[in-house]
Amino acid sequence: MTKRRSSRRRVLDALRAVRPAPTPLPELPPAGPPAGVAAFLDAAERAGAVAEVLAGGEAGLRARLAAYAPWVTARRVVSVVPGLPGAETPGGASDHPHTFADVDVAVVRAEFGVAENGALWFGAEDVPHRAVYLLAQHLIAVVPAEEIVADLHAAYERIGSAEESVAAQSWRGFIAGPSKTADIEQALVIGAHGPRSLLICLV
Amino acid sequence: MTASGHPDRAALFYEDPERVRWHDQAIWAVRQNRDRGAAAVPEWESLRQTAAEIKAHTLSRLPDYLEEFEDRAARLGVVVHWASDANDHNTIVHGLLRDHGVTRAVKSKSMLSEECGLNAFLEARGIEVIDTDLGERIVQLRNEPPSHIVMPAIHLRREEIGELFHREFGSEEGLSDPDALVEVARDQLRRQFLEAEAGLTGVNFAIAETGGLVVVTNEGNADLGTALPRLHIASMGLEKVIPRLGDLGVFLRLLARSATGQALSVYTSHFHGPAPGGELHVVLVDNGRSGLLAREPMRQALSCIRCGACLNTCPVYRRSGGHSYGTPVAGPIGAVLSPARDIEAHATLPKACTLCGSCADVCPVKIDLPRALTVLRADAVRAERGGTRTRWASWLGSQLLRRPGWTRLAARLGRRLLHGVPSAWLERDPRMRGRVLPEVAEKSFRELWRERRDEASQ
Repeated sequence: MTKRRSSRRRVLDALRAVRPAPTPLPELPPAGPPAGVAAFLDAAERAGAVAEVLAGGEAGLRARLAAYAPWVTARRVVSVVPGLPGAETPGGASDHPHTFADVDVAVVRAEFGVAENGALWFGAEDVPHRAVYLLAQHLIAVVPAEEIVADLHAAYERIGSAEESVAAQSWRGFIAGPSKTADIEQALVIGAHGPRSLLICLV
Repeated sequence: MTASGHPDRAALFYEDPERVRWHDQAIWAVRQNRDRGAAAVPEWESLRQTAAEIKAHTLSRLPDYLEEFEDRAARLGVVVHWASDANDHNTIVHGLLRDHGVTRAVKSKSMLSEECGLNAFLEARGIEVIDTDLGERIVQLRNEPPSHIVMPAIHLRREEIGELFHREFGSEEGLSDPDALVEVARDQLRRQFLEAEAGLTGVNFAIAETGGLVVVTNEGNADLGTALPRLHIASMGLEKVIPRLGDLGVFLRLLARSATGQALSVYTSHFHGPAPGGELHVVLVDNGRSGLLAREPMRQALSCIRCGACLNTCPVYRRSGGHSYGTPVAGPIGAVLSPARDIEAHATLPKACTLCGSCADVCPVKIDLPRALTVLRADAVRAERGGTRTRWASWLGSQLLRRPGWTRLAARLGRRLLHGVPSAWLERDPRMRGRVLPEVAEKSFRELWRERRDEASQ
């Protein structure tokens, strides 16, 4: 404990000894003008996702899934969207995250999308463990079509607002497309450690 | 020129010219992706300016923001540790792992852990650390350091990775298809993730205002590595703190576009406090950063967000490879960070530069790398022990250039003598290998000008 405290003192003293002349903190850039769903769909596809606007609410979602190969061939599906045939509702937080290791498809909800980069904003609130987002072989994300913001400036205005209170949950994050790597000769490979595909359903 | 200098290590890379050509082109392609990413944002230049100003402001009040971060993070249940050097950092991380009975940990990419030599420290104490970024895992299995901060295994060809996986994992011999190789690694690493007892990560940004940490990856390895075990230890350099949540909008719009041309990396995780039932520790590391803060223009190197754009654009880096620098961070930024702390150990790095200025043009936070490299060259000359050659040559040059008559005389002598210089003599400097002197003009520009003027007036 004394060791830790003395390191803290040492570091802060070293920094205070060399404090450079103050410079002002600039204003943040304004959010871009509202962007349409089309821009989001484009950006999401560029990030390697399949992104579609589905009509007909949950019936529309069920119809789409019936024609979606990863869904059709899946052995284990977990879904936070109720009423999907064959899907289990993920258990409570008492479940060990490892229990999701063999999930083939997970259906999750995103709060909003970002038009400039195709990213979705997730909070771990509806899933018992955020491991679900990563362990599933294929991820399906449902997001309301009206919840698209223009860019990251708009996104952080929203995330930083009092109602959202980003710090209220231990994990929240953007996911833009399926996991990927280019670490072998810069060749892009989809499906690194996380999901091999991402289907985004705007409803 | 010491035997372990940049030119000698670059010469090793040059033993395989085909690899050099491929490396140069592969990395140039990444630079071109960056250009497309930047061009897609009309306000790119003003974003860079804002980013540079946020960083400059933060550095001017660094201790205040670190204390604000510490306070907010502690209120969320994060345990904040301070480390004044690499050994301090390693000791803290090891102590935490030991106290939790951890024998196997997974680690996502952290240049800081490379800088501190964390893996070797933990392995010597019986704790197995598995690097989980694919490129990092590849170089870890080869027992070598990463050669690029974003693409750690960019110096390797697919066939070499296939051989490595065959040897280490028993995958099919001769496998070289990237998709198939990634599948092998995914399967291997998935097991490691499920068995790990702790997840170690770096930190891209620490938010003073909220006490949050932001970690960015494309593979999802930092997320998977921290979502399964109960213990998450995040190590960060002091300079990673930013004042406001909203500053992320500026930095994240620049980061991935500058790194790979992507609009955003796949995973951008915001950690605010430990997961339910888990523990989150953050280690704030100085290790020479307070010293860097003391001096302009080297201070600006603390603004770096580790995108790798300066490496990708650098004509020297692309043709000499990351290992030629012999430092945890290669390329122009590495040639500032390491020599700024210890010029004697890294005297050749500021000279591994053509002063073309491209690194400053692509840097998303506008670090004046060419100026820092120029200042460090002067430091290198001053630090050179017994090596008075450079100093004499510089003195002679300044005497000549101050006197136009002497300069003309020296140039005339040079035009006569350069013809006869044997190339073997020039090639004693490894940087001259493979080069030829340009043909020396018969007459100086001055003489030609005078002749033309006389002809015109006749």
